[in-house]
Amino acid sequence: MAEGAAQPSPGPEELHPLVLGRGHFLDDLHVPGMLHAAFVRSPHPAARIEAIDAVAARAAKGVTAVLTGADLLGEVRPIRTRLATDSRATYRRTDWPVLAAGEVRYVGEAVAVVVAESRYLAEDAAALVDIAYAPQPAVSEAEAALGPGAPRVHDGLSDNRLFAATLDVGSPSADPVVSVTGRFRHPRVTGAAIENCGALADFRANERELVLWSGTQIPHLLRDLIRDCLDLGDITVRVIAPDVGGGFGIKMQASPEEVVLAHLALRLRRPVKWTEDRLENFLASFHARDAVVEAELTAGPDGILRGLRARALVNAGAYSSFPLSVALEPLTIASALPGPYRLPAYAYEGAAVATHRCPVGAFRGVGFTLGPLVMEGLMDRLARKLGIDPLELRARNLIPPADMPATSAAGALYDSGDYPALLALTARAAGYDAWREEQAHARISGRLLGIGIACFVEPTGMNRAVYRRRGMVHVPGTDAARLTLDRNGQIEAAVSTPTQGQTQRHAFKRLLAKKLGISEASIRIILGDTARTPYGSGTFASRGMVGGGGALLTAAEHLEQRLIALAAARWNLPKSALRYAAGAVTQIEAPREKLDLAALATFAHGPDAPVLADAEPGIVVHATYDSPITPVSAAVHLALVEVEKETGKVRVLRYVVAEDCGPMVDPAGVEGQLRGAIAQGIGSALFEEIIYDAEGQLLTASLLDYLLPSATDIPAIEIVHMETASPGTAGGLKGVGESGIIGAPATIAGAVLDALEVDPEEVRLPLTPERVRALRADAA
Amino acid sequence: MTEPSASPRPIRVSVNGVDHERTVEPRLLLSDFLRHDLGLTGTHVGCEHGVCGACTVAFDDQPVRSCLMFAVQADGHRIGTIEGMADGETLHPLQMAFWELSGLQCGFCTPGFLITARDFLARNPDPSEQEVREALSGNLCRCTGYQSIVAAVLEAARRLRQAPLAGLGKS
Repeated sequence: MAEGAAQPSPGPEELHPLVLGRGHFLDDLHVPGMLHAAFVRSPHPAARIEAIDAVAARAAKGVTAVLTGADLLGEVRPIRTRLATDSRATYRRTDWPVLAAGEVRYVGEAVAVVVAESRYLAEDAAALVDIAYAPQPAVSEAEAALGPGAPRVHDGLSDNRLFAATLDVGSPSADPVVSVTGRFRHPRVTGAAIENCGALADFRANERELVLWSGTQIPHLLRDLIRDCLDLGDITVRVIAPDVGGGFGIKMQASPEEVVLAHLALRLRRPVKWTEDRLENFLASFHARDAVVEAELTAGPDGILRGLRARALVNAGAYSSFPLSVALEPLTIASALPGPYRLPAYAYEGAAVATHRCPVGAFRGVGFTLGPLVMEGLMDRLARKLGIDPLELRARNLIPPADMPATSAAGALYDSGDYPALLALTARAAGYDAWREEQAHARISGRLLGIGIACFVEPTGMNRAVYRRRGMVHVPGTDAARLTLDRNGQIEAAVSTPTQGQTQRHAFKRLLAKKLGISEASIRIILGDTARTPYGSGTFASRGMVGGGGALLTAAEHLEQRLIALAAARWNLPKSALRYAAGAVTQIEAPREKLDLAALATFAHGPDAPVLADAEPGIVVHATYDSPITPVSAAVHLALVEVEKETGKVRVLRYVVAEDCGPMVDPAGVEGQLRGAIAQGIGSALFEEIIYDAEGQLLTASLLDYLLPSATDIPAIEIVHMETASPGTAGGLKGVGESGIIGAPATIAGAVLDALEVDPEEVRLPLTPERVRALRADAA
Repeated sequence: MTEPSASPRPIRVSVNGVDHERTVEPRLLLSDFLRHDLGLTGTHVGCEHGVCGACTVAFDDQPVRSCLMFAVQADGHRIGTIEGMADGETLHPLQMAFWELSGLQCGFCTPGFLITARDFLARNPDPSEQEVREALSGNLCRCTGYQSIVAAVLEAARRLRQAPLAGLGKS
């Protein structure tokens, strides 16, 4: 292939339209004849719906339709998220009606939908829908929901426990031990992508195709769900994710609204759009975490760990979300707690309980964030108790490279990495000893400096075996790629993992160009359209590069084989006499004899094309990739913070990261993922909290109440890298999307407690100035 | 809407140097007017309560939140949006620096940052990093952690000081 004529792009090509304001985000899309939907939502956390009077709304200006739950009976099935459990777990499914049927279970639950000629008119009419509610007792806190007399969120269930699981490995040594305990509470938070959610649905009658545009992270699985919920007969569903303004896991749940929009387009035979507003996003677009973990860590007098015992309780909200279910947080916390440490014994109990709150789902890092928050918190306590430097204590317990591959106490395979070297690298990059000196000097002058440390692992791009073991039957665990080499030598690469702003097209292009030895200019990446990409899991849980990238590399190998077969036919030589390298097939014995991609493409599409026994004419190859293992990235975070004595405000002075996410395809992209995720983790640690009152009313329904970090809150983040290839994945690739937010809450919390020199019974994030002042007051 | 004061009224607005005459309801937000009446969808709406800054546009050269204004308030005024920032296909130095230094990931907040930063650099052509951070603290980005945005604004400032005419857009 001819190299070079094209100028190198100054940045990732997919960013060029975005700096010009020429993106195509969901609300930018317009289909002729399009109507607009507005949802009527419950103001009550728990109530029976006695009557709905929609007469005035239906008569209002510009209104096409008003539908309630009753109108959907027999037409639209509820969202039913299944989970296959083994003997160590119990799961109780919730049926989630896409419009409330008879009762509401959280503030913001969709009760009716109004469709009108404009969004303004739809919202006008929505205000006219008159609903008579009979409020019922509500339960908002997870602990309260487990109480004997607690109101039941679902009448059909004997109590509010939706999921419970246990794990018990090894037995702690009977030698004399030291023990530390603690309770760690992670707030309910949300992804808060700057673009809210939404959907646009259009039924194309001539093609019998229902098209649903959504910023979804799981186009193929959302398509599966739409089929599960609607009776479609011969109608096919096509899901398209246009430009997406951030997902962060929140957009990996299928929403009831998406199902309603799909139904509306079929029912009304008109395109209908719904653009969520920020209030709706806070009320009803999936929250995350809301977990408390009580734990005890034991060790020998030398600080060598003996065992960990932990109990986690997750406030899951009113329904189990699709596709992962309420099991997501408790199962992830279970696997995250042991972290990168040698741990001979581990006992865990985890539960998810229903409350009258918005359902939780995935948000970047999921329960993995609880791992370091708990484990590193306990390590700090242990270090103080034993008088060992906290960095040294970690160094003594990290799994050494000689043990790799290692099996964690939770049963996870850690495939590769040098965790002690990663810790040493971080300490060196930060100047850890100098930080400690600075801290000591600051103390003398009355300033409160603190140092936080987090060592952790990040299982990335989980494979089929993991989803099967977890029982998450709606997720295949595979991803796929299809390569089409056209007559002009251009490659179209369609991949099942869509992008929400991770510059995935750029990274995939680099990966494929390098693999095939061709220019990036000859490659086009297709993402986010179920009709144009092969079936696969989607983009979440740090799987874009492992799953999508692995599929691309595998497909590229198929392509090389196909090109060799074509060249063999062209030259009338055996395939074994040929090899593929640097964009061309060459003869091993006569390396000057070459057929490049363009020549082979022309040949394959022309009248002289050979009839190959195992292939159709043309050049199309496909690979569905199940990563042989789930590769595990690792990182160490170090932060230096200052706590303002008078106000309790925390300032992050330095933040240093050593990351090992395997070979980096796009280093700038990796660093962008790390910095963005760390900023979100600092948000969880210091600012962000979704607050409900005891009755289940949401108190943080705007960006004035739910505080996102701004440019003055986030420091420059210093990053150093190790690149340990995985021995088990295509290209040795590992993922990195979540790493930053897994480590940051623990790092910041540890630093604040170090500054205050306190070990409170409960560590509760976010550490707002008010909470920091209270911690100081308690310590005094 | 039945109140006489709520009846549609004509407005004339200059957007990126082009005059537009439309008849709009008084309640129509300026952001919706730009996006849906004029089709200038580069201005994004993230919160509709004036916090996120994604909808920032230049109003007579001052950055404003277009979600907090009504279209009728723009009658007789000049509006600058992201679509008017480049000179044809030639990127403004801020756009180029954002592109080169990955000052964006998803790009949803980017137009608001660019409009805010252009105004800031016009007033402070040689800012410190801290000054840039403070100037941008009213715009929220959820992807980048801000570091690459700050770097891009500092780099654009440097280039603009060397070639100040490069920053003249259409608005």
